Amino acid sequence: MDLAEMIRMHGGSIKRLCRSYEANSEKASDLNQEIWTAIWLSLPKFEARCTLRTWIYRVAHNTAITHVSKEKREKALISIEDMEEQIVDERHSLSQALEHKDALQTIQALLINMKLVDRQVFWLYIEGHSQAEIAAVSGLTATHISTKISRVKKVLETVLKNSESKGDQP
Amino acid sequence: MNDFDLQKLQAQWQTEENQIKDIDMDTILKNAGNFQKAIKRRNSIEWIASLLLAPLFIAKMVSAATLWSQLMYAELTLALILISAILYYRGRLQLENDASLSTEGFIEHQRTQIQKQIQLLSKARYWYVAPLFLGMLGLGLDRLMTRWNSAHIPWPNVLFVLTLPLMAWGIIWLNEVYAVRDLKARLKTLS
Repeated sequence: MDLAEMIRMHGGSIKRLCRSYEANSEKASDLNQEIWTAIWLSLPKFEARCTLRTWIYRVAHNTAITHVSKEKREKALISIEDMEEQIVDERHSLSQALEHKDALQTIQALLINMKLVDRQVFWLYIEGHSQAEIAAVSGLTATHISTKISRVKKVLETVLKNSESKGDQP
Repeated sequence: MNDFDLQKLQAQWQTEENQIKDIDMDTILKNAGNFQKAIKRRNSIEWIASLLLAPLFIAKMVSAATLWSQLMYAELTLALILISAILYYRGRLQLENDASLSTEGFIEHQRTQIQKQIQLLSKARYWYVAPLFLGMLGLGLDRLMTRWNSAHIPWPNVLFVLTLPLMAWGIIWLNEVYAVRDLKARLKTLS
């Protein structure tokens, strides 16, 4: 498979990945370029130890993580565990803030503030990747991923409830 | 949340349009070329600097007027070699996007590299500033003493000697405070 074919197949998904790591549209476009350049430069090193799809998402996430770590952040990233607690606590500002956005925007906002590994699991899950694929990309154990996915589900459930309560469609 | 809701949400997520520009092969090839050129340029600059500076100090040492100056030029030459070796072996962050690593491994690799860099920069006063500062101060004082007489004060030499500690403090601050603070922030993001 050549790079143009990869872009055709995974381009949309990688664009969504960029928006999950970078809120600014222009910077997200730059990140998209960085990711495809990294994939192109790393392609000769691909040894088929995993599927090409897994490999592409590894390079993409690793490039995005490097991008995030270079950015100067004012607030610390939040773990999925803390996010779950905050999101279900109705008195908390995060929960209130969520009510003013629709489900997809809310997920985007949550992802941007999430710790990197949690963000990756969340993103791969919502993109429809299997647990085995998530394990192959992230390097986490099946048990670890299973725990994280149950938390992701709880967060998504709250997001859906919030958006439904103000009349939005999920 | 039931599977139907989840599938609906996933489907909606996966079809959402965003404002990121499409990418084409020409842009990727241009970016890849620029990246490789930048690496070659950086390596060339480092090599040329090493090739030029050490022989320059050796030539200065041979032609120096006093034994003290010769010693100081020798010290500066050794300092340059020491600094170059440290920078070559330990200075460069090895943060290449190694695709064979899973994200967990990649983050661990990045953290280790950043920690090594923090350790190195935190001691910049010992391996970087002190060796250069001693040689420069020795040369500055030598020139000042040679040119000093009661009728004429060599102000440029006086200023050079006086600004040396300031420069040394500046380099220490840039390395041990500013750069380390930046790296610690990156480390925190990767935690």
